[in-house]
Amino acid sequence: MAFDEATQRELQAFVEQESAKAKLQSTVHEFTGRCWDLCIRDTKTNQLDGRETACLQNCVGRFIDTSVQIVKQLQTKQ
Amino acid sequence: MQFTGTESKEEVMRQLKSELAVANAQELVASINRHCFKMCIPAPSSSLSSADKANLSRCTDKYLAAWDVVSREYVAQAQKQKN
Repeated sequence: MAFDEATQRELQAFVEQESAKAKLQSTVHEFTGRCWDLCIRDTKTNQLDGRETACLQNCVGRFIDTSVQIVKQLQTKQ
Repeated sequence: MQFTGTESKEEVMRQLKSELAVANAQELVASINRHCFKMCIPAPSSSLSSADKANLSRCTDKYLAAWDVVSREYVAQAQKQKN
């Protein structure tokens, strides 16, 4: 590779930024699958109704709360 | 990823972005396939009926809508955690 140092630094920052985006997308894939299984019972229409939308939102929120709660609990044990 | 060593910086960036976009699309297609097969084809027969196809089509639209809701909610929650 024939990149000068400044370009290498710039590429490094770019790769880190793109990796963070990819990680976010991968988490969204995981949550969508998990929460779909919990919240969606049928596909009679091609749209989400209000109840399903609220269920998906709660599923994401409470999953995050759960992980925060577990970390807190483990910290008290140290 | 294959580089010859003669690419410009922009070319490297463009290629990385495009490969990540392909990977993201593949993962989305695989997820839709898995979840909509389970939802729409509980008892596979000798071929897909037109009703099956219509159901798969609705399921695909709905899964994309769910992806969108989850994505927005996750970003909103992540912002809240930061503050």
